[in-house]
Amino acid sequence: MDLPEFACFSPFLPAEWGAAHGVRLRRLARLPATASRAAREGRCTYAANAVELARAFLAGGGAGAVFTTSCDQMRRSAELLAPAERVFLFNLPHTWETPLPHRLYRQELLRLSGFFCRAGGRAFSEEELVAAMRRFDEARRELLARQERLRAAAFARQLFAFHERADGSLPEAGLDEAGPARGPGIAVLGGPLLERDLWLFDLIEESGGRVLLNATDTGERTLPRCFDRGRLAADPLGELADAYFGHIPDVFRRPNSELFRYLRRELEARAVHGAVLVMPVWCDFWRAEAERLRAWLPCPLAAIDLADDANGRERARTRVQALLETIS
Amino acid sequence: MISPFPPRRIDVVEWDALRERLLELGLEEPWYGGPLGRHVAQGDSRLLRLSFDNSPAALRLWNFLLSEEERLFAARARGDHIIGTMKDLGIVPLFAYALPRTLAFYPDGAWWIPCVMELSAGLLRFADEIGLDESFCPVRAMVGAFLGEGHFPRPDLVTCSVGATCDDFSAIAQRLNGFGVPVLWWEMPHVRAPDPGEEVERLPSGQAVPAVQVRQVEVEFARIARHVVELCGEPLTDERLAAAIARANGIRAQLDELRRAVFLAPRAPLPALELLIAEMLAIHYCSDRDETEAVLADLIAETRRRVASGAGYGDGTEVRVFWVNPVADLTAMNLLEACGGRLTGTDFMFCHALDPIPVERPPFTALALMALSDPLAGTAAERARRVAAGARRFRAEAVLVSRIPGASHCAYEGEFIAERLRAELCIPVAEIEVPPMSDSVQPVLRTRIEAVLEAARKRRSER
Repeated sequence: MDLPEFACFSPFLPAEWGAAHGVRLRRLARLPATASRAAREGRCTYAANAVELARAFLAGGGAGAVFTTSCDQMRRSAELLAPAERVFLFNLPHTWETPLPHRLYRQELLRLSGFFCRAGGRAFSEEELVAAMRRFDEARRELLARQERLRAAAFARQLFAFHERADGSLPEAGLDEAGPARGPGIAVLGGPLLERDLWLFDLIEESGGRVLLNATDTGERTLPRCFDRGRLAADPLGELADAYFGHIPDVFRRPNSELFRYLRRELEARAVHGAVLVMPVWCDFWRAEAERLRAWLPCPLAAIDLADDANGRERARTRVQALLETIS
Repeated sequence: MISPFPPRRIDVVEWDALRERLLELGLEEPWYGGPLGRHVAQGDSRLLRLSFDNSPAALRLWNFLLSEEERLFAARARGDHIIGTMKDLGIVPLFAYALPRTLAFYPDGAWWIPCVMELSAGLLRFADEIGLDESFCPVRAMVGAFLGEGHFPRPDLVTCSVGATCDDFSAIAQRLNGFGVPVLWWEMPHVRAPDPGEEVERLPSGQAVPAVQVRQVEVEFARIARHVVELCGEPLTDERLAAAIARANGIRAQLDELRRAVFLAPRAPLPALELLIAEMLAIHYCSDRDETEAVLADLIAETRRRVASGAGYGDGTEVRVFWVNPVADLTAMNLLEACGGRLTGTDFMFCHALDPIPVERPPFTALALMALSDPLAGTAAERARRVAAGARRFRAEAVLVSRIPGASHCAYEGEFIAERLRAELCIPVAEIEVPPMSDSVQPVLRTRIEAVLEAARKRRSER
């Protein structure tokens, strides 16, 4: 029998939590061809696309959709979906410096557990959770190990596929015959990407750069930390919550200092010469940080709006080429 | 002093002449009183474009509002504790006002500076320079106001609610923090419906919420209280907090009386603009609680007298309009009346600062319940429900949803409110967007307001 499936869009929602409940918590990134492309002023393009994806998913027999309150746009987008009983809004705390938000995150996981169970999932056992966590953890380690052998877009596709499968299995290795690109190292930062946005990585590499870090919301930055085997055995839910909520740096978190700490660490570890910041149109969180990043980064930055049109791509091409000319 | 003259809209120049006449007739002003024209000389040039009510109560209200900066700097000079409370609109200041020689204000209020000073303060230009362009809410003016320290003194403690708040504010506050301003962030959860079997609490509005969310906010408030106590060196006892709540409820009761009188009287006893300013006093008492009580008492006395004598604005045939969201440009409130409308209901985003605080609950619980009543913390559907209830209560004939440029919530809420109002009350709803300086779009605003008023009149004639 097919497992009940749930759509989601946030890296803070552990797919292994779904797996422990006998459901697939699939993070979607492939926009259906029928999706409306009309943007409404003020509405984040990613949030609008998430609504389209969730609608199509629910209409196609999906058991439910899980949104988070990571930003006002996603929080309010959940309200646009129907029927409401098939939509779960996960209260994702923005603060993190005190015990309360960590407790709240854990409580929300348990509330999500109830939603899964009401929609065809089963109550989780600790053994199943531990097994699922081990499986996903190993898969992520393997996935990261592939990174060096892949071009950036191919690696991003592997990440998308892993998140969409949501069963802990990895897609075929599909190694690039061409091998990794050469050229000045580029870090790509910013908001979430959809699969159709991956032209950006190709563009960077075609323009003579090499993407050394995918620190977008759908890149390696938002993978949870590796599980500690001791804590995994002693308190799997606590370990799950800490690996995700306790460690994923993101722009919406208050303060967002961990994002900067992460970037400093990763940029120092790799020979990055330039950065590309990608922002969904009307994404306040990333847009607000663009100038701060420009001043703070040790390398030049090109900020790009992920506009869903030919003009947007052309603007992006110009900026990326200008960046690479600057640093080459 | 009750106005010896019938209600009339006057400009700032007329006000200064009228004030002289009122002084001759015995007007006594508080220490911050004086001619409104002096504020223009100090840079508040937008006042030249506004129409004002001609009562002494309105003069006091305006002088109170426009002297806030001066009063804040005076408080700093006295050595009082100053807390900058960001975003929650009406709850956290109570912790400050529970203690002696402590006050709170909203740096968010800087969003009106570009309007009042007609961009001369350069705050939006500064925001542009640091990358907070016009895709952000006008509250982006706050960063320059904060860093420049010319508009208010640097607070001793800055709090900011995040979580279920608008992205613009959270992003702008984070930039402020990035400039080295310490911020005490606190978590405001998205207010959701209780799950099956979950313990429930009731908000003052009657809405059921999960008890666990009330407990979460209580924990956050206890944390804020610890910081306030540490700053002020005074214990924040339940008794002190209860006393602050009682004073807050007194002010909320004053505003309730004022609102009911303005919304329900046959003729509007007070213009829309003055009512907006009066309502705003609820959120942090314009940095002086005693004076807020006195200013509102004067307005109520004036309003009572006008209602009793049948005095007011218009002839009673104006279209009754419920207004949603505050306006970045104050002239929009004048425009409503110039188009033939009158204000009969408001949701300026801080209804939770107007509702009575339940005194039968422990203070922290009561304040948590009020925080969860924030219309922006819950769903747009719940806000629409409250707007519909308010529109029905005050017999509104039309609803105007005023979009705040760039604000994340405004891209969603209008749709929900319009759907609900049309389905439930069958009254026309329109969205307008009011920038901080709306001069260039006033013809468009006027057309849209006139259109919705016309639709309401047509509906009236068909009934």
